[in-house]
Amino acid sequence: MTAQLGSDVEGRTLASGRVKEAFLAYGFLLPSALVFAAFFFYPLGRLVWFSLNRQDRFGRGLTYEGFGQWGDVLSSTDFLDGLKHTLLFVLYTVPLGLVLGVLLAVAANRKIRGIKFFHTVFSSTIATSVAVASVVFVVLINPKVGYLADTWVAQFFDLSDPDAALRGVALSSVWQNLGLTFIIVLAGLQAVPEELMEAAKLDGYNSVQRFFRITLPLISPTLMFLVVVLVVFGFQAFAQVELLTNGTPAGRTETLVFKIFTDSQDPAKLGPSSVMALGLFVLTVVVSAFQFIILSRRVHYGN
Amino acid sequence: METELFAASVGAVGLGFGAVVLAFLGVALPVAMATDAWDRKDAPSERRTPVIAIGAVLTLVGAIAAINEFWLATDNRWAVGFIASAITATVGLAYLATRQQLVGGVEPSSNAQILSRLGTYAFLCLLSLLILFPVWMTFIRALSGPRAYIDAGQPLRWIEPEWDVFSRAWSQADFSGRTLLSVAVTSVITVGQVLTSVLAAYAFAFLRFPFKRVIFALFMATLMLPIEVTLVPNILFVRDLGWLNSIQGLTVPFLATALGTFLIRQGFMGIPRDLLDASQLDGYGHASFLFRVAAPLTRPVIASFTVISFLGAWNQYLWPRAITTEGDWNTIQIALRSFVTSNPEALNLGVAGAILAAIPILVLLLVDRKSVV
Amino acid sequence: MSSITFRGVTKRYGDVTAVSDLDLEIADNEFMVLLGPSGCGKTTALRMIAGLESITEGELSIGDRVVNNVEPQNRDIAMVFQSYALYPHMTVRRNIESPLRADRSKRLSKGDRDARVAEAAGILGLEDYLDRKPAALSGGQRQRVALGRAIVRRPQAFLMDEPLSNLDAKLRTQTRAELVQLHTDLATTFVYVTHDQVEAMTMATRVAIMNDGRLQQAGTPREVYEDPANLFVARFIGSPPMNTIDGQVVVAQDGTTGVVAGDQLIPSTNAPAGSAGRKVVAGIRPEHLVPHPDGTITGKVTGTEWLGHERQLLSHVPIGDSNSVQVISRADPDGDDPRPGEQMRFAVDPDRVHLFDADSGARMRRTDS
Repeated sequence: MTAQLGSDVEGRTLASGRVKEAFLAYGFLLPSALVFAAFFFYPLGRLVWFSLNRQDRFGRGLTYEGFGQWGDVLSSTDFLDGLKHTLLFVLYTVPLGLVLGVLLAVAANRKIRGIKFFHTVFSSTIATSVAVASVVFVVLINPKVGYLADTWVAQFFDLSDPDAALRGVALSSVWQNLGLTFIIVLAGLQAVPEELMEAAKLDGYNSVQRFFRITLPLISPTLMFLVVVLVVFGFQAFAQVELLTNGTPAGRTETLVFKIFTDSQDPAKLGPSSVMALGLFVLTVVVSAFQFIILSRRVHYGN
Repeated sequence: METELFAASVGAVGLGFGAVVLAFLGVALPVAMATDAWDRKDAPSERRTPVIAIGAVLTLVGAIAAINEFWLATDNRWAVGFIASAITATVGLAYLATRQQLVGGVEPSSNAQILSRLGTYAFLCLLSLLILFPVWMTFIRALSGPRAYIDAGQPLRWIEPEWDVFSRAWSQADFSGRTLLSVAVTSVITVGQVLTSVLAAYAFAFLRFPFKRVIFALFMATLMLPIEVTLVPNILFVRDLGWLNSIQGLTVPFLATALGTFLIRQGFMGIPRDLLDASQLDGYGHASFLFRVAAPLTRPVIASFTVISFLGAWNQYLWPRAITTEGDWNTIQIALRSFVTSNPEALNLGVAGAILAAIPILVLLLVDRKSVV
Repeated sequence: MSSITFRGVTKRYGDVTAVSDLDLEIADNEFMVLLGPSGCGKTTALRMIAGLESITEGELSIGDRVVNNVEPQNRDIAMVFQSYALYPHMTVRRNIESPLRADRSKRLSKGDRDARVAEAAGILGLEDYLDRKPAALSGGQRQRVALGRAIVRRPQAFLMDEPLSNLDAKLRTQTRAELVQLHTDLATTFVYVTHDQVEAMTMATRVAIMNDGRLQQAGTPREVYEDPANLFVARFIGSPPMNTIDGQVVVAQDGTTGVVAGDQLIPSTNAPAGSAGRKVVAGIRPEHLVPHPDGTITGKVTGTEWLGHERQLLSHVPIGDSNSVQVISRADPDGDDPRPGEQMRFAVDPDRVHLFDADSGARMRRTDS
């Protein structure tokens, strides 16, 4: 009898304890949740709504267009150009950035005197913002006042040449990302156990073989992660475009985000720009899902 | 005649590059030597102090030599600079390449190994130069009068340096105001992100509540929704709230981030459950546990995230650009844009401004090297 | 020729000396065990043989070539690391095969490589695991893979860094025997590092005991056990450890020598001539301290441990001025345990009482001057 009473009381206090805990949890989550709801999910919903509508250039007269607008915008040259430029931008920045970052990290991953100094130098570009990096590269590759403007290097990165301009913009991003890339790859390299490298030395592998057969497979998770980070950065390219070329020449450097931003000034473009934004969203999701799948399968794990 | 000109220009370029390289080495290698000795906290101090002192002196000499090479290069005393740089570089390099290593490193014991070690340092210096070259060019363009510089054929050193360009940039574009605004906005965002992330991370790590998995998934899903995607609706929303050109508009959308929640939750999950149970038995509630135990134990992670958050907020461009229409509300990054686009002739001012914009972060990183990784 | 010779080898890291003036010759085909406590320099010495640590002073030779500056991969030495260092992204087969695939002038054909891998796998019982990855193996299996990777190279010498320390006790004993068998089968020099003297004594053809960076003694297990060069070796080798009693040399009227400690008299034939009065440490192994009614050493039993095959007695032996020393002695397991507090008399064989100089710890012999 007493036992039953006791357990009943316990049960009630335990249950009320749980309820209190839940309330506390929701309380802790509330600030973040409010921000997310208001500035992430709510806009997403409105984005979908806008994408299905059109308004005039005074911001009035919201008329329903339906999914046809999606088809129209996604197949329009405007969007496809933006997509092409964005993808090209990613193509220019990611492989080069990855290779350079690995080069820097491998060179600096030695226990020799003074190496910390070089670590600091190699990671220093992480301190630059996109705006600062763009100004730095204006100094270098601006067609009128840049240092490299009349040199043979300029042909490849000429900001006034429709074909080369995007490459010039990409160059500034490659430089800017070096710091972050270096830090991440270096961390990955330092996670490889020293003994493994010693065993490889004793087995008779020279340094090139050690790198390609042992180090590279073992840091592939890190590299995979880095690729996704750099690709997402690439998708978000805006400031460097605005500051280096402002979309010129002939709109050949206009990335998707640049177009979305420009369209935000024009109320008539609300519908189409929303479709583009959704396109960008889907692109980001696809890439991240890709990473998740690849990461779970092909990548080599340590012990 | 043409070949002579060609040879002369190649020579000039080569000399120019050589001068830059030598000047760099003359400063970099002693700095590497000094910082290496400084970092060797376990070595006996009688050995460290002389090395640090010598390294510092050599750095100074190397810096003076570098300035000599460029600034006073108009007269023939540049040769002195060259020689001085060469000496400081050599001493620094000799020290680095031949001294005995700590446990884990291999000390070069044969001549072939010393040569290969020197080659390593040379390669590292080359890579450093590639990274720092844009910075150097930025610096000299800031200092040189724009007309004078272009007229002089864009050399690798500064022309008629105007050292007051920084104070001019500071006052001309109300840079102090911009800085103040950036500091305010960045601080609010950083503090906000850290607080909201710590709280949310605590809930996910230590508390039990219904729909936990779903809510966590939703939180992580926000990582798929960067501001680039949600730009237009957010602009409209903020405009409707009357928050254009305001602190609220610049900060509130960024007061929370799933990245912080994720990172700090990882840190919290490293704390054994036993600690929480013991603390509850002692009669402490969750809030006390958070402040007294969980947060202090994960201080490194929280510190790292604070730096990441600060960096991101300080360097923001798209959102401030989108919702500020009045110059008074430009953050430092946006101010750079007006510099660069409004008067391309006065490039030196814009570039000086960029340097000023980067300094706070550089200082933060130099002081706090560990937290970044 | 695959002998390994250290001549005056010293290794310093800044102010710290890890190995000091090491002179050691490891003969071809020996099973040499480097034994000593943590930090004694044994692992450093091993790594110097491999070329993973550079040599500060002195000469290291493999065969008759001096290898101080020879890169690790060119020394024809294989090493089994304490944590095995297997490549996690390669299968067992590829791990074992890996030294043969490194780009060297004597690259074998695929057929030869497969044959060697199969041979190594056969010796070590790994045939069924060849296609697994290290993460899917137990500790003992991983160790065999590490061994296989070493064997397949047919090197001049095998180096092993505490290979048994990550295994559980039962597996350890079993693997010990297998390693000894492997040594016989392969007929190659083994250099083995451990802090466990049981491993050393059961596996080695010769043992090199190190302490504080210095070689204390190198000899066969029997030599270091029966003929220790100094107090450190005497105490380190043997389980339970040798009993040590501080005292002074005495010479009796009839010329017999011994050590006196308080009221105890320990006869010893190992006192050098003219050493009367010298301060020494007398060392007696537990099995040489025999309970005997006419014994010259008296003590009080404080505890016993009955182990089935033998009995160990713990006794307090007073050596004057309220000092006493604990001694362990072996006794017959049959019969009853002695009662605690019981007085006991012990006798010793004078030849078996080692004398060590009290200051230097060096062993004193009758033939010393």
